[in-house]
Amino acid sequence: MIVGIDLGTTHSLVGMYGDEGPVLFPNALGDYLTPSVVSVDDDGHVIVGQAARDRMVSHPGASVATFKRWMGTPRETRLGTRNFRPEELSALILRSLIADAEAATGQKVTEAVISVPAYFSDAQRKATRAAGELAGIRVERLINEPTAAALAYGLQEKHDGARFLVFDLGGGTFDVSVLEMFDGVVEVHASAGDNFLGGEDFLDVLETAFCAEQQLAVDDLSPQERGQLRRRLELAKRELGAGSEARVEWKRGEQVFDWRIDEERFARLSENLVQRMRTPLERAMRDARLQPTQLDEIVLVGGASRMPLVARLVSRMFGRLPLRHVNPDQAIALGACVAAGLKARDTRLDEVILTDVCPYTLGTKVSRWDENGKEQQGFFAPIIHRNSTVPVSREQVFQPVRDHQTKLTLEVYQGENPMVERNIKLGELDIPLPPKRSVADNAMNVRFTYDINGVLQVEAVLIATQQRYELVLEQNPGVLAPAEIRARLQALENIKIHPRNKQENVAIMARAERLYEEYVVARTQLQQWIAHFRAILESQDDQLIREHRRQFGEAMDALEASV
Amino acid sequence: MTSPLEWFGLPSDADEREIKRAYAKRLKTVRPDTDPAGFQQLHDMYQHALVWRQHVVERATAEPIRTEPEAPSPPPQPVAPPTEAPSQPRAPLPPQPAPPSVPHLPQAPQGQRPSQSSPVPPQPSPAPPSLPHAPRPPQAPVQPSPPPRVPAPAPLPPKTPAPPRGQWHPVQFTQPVAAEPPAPRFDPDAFVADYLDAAVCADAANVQGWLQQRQELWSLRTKHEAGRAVLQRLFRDPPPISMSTFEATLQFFDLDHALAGIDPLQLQKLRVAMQERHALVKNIGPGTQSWGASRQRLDVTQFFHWFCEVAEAGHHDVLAANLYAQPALRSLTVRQQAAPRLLERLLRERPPMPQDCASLLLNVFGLGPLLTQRGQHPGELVAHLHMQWLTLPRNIGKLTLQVKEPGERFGDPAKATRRLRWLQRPFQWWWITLAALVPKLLHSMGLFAWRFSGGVPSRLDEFFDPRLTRFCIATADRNRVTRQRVWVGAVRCALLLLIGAGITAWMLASGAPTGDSDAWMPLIIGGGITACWLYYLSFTALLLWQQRPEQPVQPRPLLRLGLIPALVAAGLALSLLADQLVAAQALLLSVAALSYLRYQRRNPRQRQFSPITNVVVLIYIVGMAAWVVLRFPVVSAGLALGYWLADLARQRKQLQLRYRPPAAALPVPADAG
Repeated sequence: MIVGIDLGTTHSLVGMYGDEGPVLFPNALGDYLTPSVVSVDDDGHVIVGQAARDRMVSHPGASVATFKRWMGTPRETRLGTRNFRPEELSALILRSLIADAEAATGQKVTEAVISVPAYFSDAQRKATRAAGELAGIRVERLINEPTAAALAYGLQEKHDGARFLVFDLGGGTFDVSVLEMFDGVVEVHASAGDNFLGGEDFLDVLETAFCAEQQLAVDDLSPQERGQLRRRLELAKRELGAGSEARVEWKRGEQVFDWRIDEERFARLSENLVQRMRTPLERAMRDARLQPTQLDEIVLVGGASRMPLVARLVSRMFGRLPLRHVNPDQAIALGACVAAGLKARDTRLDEVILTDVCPYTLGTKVSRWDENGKEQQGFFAPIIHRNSTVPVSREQVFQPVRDHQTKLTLEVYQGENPMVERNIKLGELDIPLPPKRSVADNAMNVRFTYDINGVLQVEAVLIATQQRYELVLEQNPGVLAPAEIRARLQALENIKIHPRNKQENVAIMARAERLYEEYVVARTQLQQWIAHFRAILESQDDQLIREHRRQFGEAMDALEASV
Repeated sequence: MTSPLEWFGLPSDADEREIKRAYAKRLKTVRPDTDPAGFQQLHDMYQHALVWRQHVVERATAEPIRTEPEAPSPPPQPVAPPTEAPSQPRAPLPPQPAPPSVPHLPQAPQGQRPSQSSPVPPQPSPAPPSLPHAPRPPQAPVQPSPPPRVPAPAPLPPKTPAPPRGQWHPVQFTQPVAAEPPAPRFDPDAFVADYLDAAVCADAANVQGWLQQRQELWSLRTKHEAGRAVLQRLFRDPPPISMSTFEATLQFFDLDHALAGIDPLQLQKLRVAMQERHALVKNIGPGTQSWGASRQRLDVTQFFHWFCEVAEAGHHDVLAANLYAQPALRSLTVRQQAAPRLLERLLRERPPMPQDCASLLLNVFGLGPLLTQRGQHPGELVAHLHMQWLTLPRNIGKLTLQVKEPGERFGDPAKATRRLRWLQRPFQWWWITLAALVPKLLHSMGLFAWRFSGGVPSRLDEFFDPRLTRFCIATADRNRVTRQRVWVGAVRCALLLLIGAGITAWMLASGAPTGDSDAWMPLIIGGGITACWLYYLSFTALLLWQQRPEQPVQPRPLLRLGLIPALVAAGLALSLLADQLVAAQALLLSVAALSYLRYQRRNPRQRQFSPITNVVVLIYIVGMAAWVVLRFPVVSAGLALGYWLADLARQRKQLQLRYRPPAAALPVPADAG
């Protein structure tokens, strides 16, 4: 069975292409959204999802979130007794999602299509694949998030000959894609984005403003306190989306903070972030060679796009209201399910063909001669232009710098800057040249081929001798080697995970512990409740536990509502 | 293949919808995941077809009957997007494009998208070298496309949001949507002026904020246009803008990426230029001058006075910093308007100013082209003003430095003053004749004039009597046999002969016998020296003529080539037939020397021997050779011919035995060497 997975910065979802179109699977707690948080409890069990998110407040040292932003880097996080790479953390989330899917369908999941931000780099995409392998499934196809959203939306709407722009502002990433649909073809014209812009950054803005106004230093706050504060602010941020003013009440020890913020002020504070969204939007429109009037719809997806300032930005730029009747949280996952159906060649989807683009420019490093005849090094010569429809293969002729050169190093770069030093180096290819030849005799054809799975192949042919050199870019700094993946897979197998039927208990305990940290006044009460629940858990009577769990949950709801 | 439409099996008047349908149909069999190569070809053809059709539509709408302004296409992009307002039901194309015969169509796809043409685009023009090297020739920094005067697209009425669906409801907006403002026509020049006001010597964050707050830049088209306009202006005359501000600007307009079409080398040059100017303005920190406070106009009179005053004092940095920082001079239009009046004054008053200040003035106001239009050379004006400035008494130090001898370190100001004064007298024959008798005088005067003029003697004409300076310079020229040199030599020889004749006459008069050779001696010595001088002169003239490199345009090539063999033949004839051994020897030795020197100068030596070997071998050979050569005239004839043949062999490729007059008259070299 092939599933579609939206592996988000803050939330993840799983689903498949069923008989009636894409369906999502709920997790053990009955939610579609599983928070992308991993936590390790005292006995070394790994906890994923809502429970882990609650533990972010009570046990910040043993929990980690927003690790999607570190994908493609070798950064490791220490949880409990073990270090985790971002791939492994993602793999834990994936495992939990797969367990949900298997529980819902009763079938074994063998393969998945995972959505990634369109602007993810090569290394980040490879890391995502590695995470899939670590979770024990095959990941051949990655789908860009805006494309997925458009797929879900477009198929649902059955528009024909429509061009639209998908604006995807998630928890940690920002993506824009311009697409067109006609006759069952979903054609992506352009994608652009910012991998470090998302809802979390808006939260940071709020946090900074709060601390500045209440004369608090962010560094003085303990991790617990910070977690509590961010939770409050997150709630306030959502409230600002709907109303015009939000209130934040927070107790820190004896201190009580009462802070009000209205929508206008929030918009002013986040002006910089909003401005940062302009460039990718403009770039995508320019690369698609479209004018705002030529767009039919603007689709907002991603949880953070609910903020009114996003809608305002879009309407200011495009002179129209964005479309909001897709569920911004689920659109991408639904699209990933459609992509999974496409991958499986589902007969019901045979009419749909998706063509995507390569969001980055790929090229090589060249030298140039300036007016004074001096050699200037480090220029970027694009070969595959960004937003070329993939699969794509382009070739250009290059020459060595000097006569009688014996070796040529072809460096492969990805990025947009005209100078290579500010782009990302993907690899290099050493080409020995026949000796004693002039520059023109040593010219070579360099061909870059970028396939539909995002693998770049570099091929250089020495024109004079037809000698062929090849480089397939599999290895990147910050990406695990296959052997290492196998080793880490072994290690991950040994990690203990709470059985799925126990997860509700874990979640409710985590919530109780969070409330214990947050509400000082109710601590004795909560302590009693927790002790009582523990006692009942030990009885191992499912019926009793279920009943008590329900009551416990209701009691905590009441507590949260009252304080 | 003629048309991409045919490739799809479509009629040549197929519309966009049909192309897309055909593409979609083929895509069902050529899938991107199973047949990448086929897909790429299909997609490329599809792109071509769209561009092709675009051209058909443009041609059709460009016909005289223009029924309605069609949706404006973004002008600066190479490929215009399909013009079609998709939000409305598709209107039938205004005038159905007349079925165009294929050969008349512009060969759109080939030139339009070089990056996406055929799957294997042959790139046969690898131009300037690079590491692996870029085949693209360096592009011009910005395509100076005329600013497109297309009205901004009419603001679209905000669409009514579709009815709520599922559990998601449209958002409640707290404030009315700011639709695209009904912008008055965007004026790039005004915008650039505003930008410069905001950006010159300003903080990067402020400039960024200023750009972000500009209402009109929210329109994609306007922003694109504005970005290009700003960059074009910066390239034309880099203002003093700090690096961080410039980077922020580039980033805002999204111009600093590999596909922006801006040559990174040019951009680097621009960065350096702006940084220099920014540092200059920052160091000097000029206040606003009274002539430059207004943005709309420049007070030319006041400005000119101020400029001349500061320039005469030689403060180039102060001038530059002021020119870059004044609001009046930021606008190129203001400069353009002021330029003619400024040039008038400059030409009328000719104020003395150093070279760098004059160039600055010319550059900032673009006076160079104006001068060229009037048939004057800007460099000449600059040089004139500079020379005038050098002749000011207080700049004698600069003058001395310019005219010093190569061996001297600083030069002698007193000498320079003296020579300047000497050159300022009028040209008189008797005076020159007298001066010719003073050794080295005319020669050093010539060198002085030559250095003072910077190598272009015609510049001296406005300062000194041209006949005098030309005479001196021609005398100083050792590389040519000029009339002036002949004249100076002749005067000196004549004096010598006169003296000799005088002494002889005196000795004869004082009673020496007529047959006494002692009495005739002074005259004979004088005659001998004159003869030597004449011999030297003619030898030099011949050598100079002979040593010139082979060029197709030289007149009388055969005569030039045959001179040496002819002279050798004459010498041999003299010795063998007429039995005039001494005359023959003299002639043949001269010819041998001529031939040798000619060979040496025309074929520069490549191999070098160590000096000691040279000296030892030379003494031996010369000693032996002199004996042999003096005995047998044939040897010297052989030497001459040998060198001549060697030269012939070496120069055979350049040899042109026919005189081919040049197509256009070559510029006559200046009257000096």
